[in-house]
Amino acid sequence: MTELFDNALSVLGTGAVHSLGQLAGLLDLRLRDAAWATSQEIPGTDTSQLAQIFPKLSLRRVPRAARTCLLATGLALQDASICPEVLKIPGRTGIFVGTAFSSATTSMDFMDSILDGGPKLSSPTAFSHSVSNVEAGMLSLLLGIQGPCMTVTQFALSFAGALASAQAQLNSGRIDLALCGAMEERDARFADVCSATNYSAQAPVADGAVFFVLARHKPGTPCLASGFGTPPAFVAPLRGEGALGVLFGQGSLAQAIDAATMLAEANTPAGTIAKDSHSGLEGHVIYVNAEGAPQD
Amino acid sequence: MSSSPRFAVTGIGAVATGTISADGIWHMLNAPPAQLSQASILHPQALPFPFFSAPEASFGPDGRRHNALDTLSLARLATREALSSSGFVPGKDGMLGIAVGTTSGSALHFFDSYAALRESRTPASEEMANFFGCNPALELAKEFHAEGPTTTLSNACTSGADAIGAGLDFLRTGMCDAVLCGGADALGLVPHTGFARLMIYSDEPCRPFDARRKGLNLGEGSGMLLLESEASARRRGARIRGFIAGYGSSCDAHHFTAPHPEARGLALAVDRALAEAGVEASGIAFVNAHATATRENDRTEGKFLASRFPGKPVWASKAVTGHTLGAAGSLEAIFCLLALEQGTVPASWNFEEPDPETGLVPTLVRTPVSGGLALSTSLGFGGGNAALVLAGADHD
Repeated sequence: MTELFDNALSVLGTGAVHSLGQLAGLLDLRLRDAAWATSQEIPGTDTSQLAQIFPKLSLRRVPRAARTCLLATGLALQDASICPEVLKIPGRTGIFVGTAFSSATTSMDFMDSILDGGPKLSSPTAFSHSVSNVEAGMLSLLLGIQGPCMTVTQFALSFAGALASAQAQLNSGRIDLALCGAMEERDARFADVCSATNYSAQAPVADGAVFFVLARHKPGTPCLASGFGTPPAFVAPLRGEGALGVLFGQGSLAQAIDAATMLAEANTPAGTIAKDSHSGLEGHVIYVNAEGAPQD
Repeated sequence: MSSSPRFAVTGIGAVATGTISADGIWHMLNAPPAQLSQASILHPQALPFPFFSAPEASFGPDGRRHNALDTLSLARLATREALSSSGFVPGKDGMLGIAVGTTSGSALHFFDSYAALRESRTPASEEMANFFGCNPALELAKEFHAEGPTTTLSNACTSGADAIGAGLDFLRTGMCDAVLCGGADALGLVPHTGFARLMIYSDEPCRPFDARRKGLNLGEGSGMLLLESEASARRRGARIRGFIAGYGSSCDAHHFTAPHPEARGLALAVDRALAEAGVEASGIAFVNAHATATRENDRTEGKFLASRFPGKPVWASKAVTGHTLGAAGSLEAIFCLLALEQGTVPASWNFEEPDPETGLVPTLVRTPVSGGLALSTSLGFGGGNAALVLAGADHD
């Protein structure tokens, strides 16, 4: 490990789901250009696979954003060959979600309900599902995880913040396993408000969630770490100017997707893989390092 | 987990109803509750449930802006005081991190813009500009030159306590040398309406733990601490206000908005905090409870505290501050530190009749305490629980 990897965590598994597919699809999208992405009809995420991964779970009344996170988490657990029952050991697994806007749909639903019928007739269900930690809370509820549940909300730097929190809790011994990731959800109403106020670049273009199963670092394993202070010389973000840039370039998912795509590739090189600054303003920087397992 | 080294609080900053600095907090806690403010301050359409308003001066020279800047203004005021009172100089004294808990401060705060759009009017520019430009941790990191780990934590009502826990772990793992940590929340139409519609909001002053309690009152405020290792504090010659001796965090995994009836998650968080502090329940001098005055919270928490900490003073402070959401856990940690300094726990206002379901009677008068350790508990939407063990400056 380089000195950049103080406090790094081992990546046991990765799961990703987004509007145009899953983890393998992200690698394909890296080869597509921006014009292709702009021409695509972007659907919501397909979470039908949840029925196979979690056949006993009732998903009635679970918001769409939480289902997306649940599927990405389930795929990551499968990738890590971890049985979900392990997660139920009280307090030893933590959940760390980075999101700029959380469940945008239910937030807009709640605002609509106030505007439609006045505050007196607004929807309490929409409100309770619009709180920023709804995804983390639902993951805890559905997977039976009784450990810490953290939600970090700082726009493009949300995933890096969630990763930093996971690093701190794992390396201080507070937990033994972390489900750490990022999610965003499209909403046409939110996009319209952003567009009308010259912030159209901020609204998520595609749905998605990327989750990693993380543990304290063991040599010889792929790892992730967030870094602060003066960033070193870095490789440009993998999403670059192509399709990934169009779909995820501005949101909290961008760094998570960069980390996931880099770790998914064979012979992944070491080094800083992404640098993001606070959207639209002279920036604060948190960088995320990913390093693949050493090759024999 | 290792129980040493110790992590010292060397700076405190606070904003709450009736005070824009930590200096006014002790007087506020010991005086009868301030008059509640009308919700119409927040928005003409707000439902008629009163709240504890932050002082108008705390929002800056232009007053309350009714957008995301309001929460940042409260956070900035408390952070400035905490950093200034600590004497810590970022860079010179080491790398500074920031962890800020909030709920409103990270919500989609553009109701008026959306309303304008629906009515085919042009939205004003300030609201969205402040939504994207007022993230608490990011903006405070830039303003106060914090180049270390930065997190805006949105864990509902445990956010402030969790931010302190995050700061503790950042220090413990060497990710930075000092942390500004705490929470902040200002209110607006959307969160106020949401809590009112959940039918947990009282239209009169709240009565934590009382048999006739009708629900919570929301409040506004910010509580920020400067946390660093004891070695760093002593090297700098800083005044130590106390220590964060332990932190525990858990999730009920039971229900999204109601606590586990047997307080399963709260018990786990408290056990973890006590273990980290190396103390049994009998070693705690007093408890500052979450005690929102909702039927569910106070029943669950009251039963747990009565059985786990029999005979210990339990202080319910939200009758004085309201429920300040993301700021609650950090403000109440500050309250505990001040009470340990003073050697007394204030009375829990508005309590008249014990609830037979819990049997818990909070402090009825100002109560002397000794022993040097306090416990502060927080519970939140999503089933989250947080517990902090605070130690007085003289506690070994």
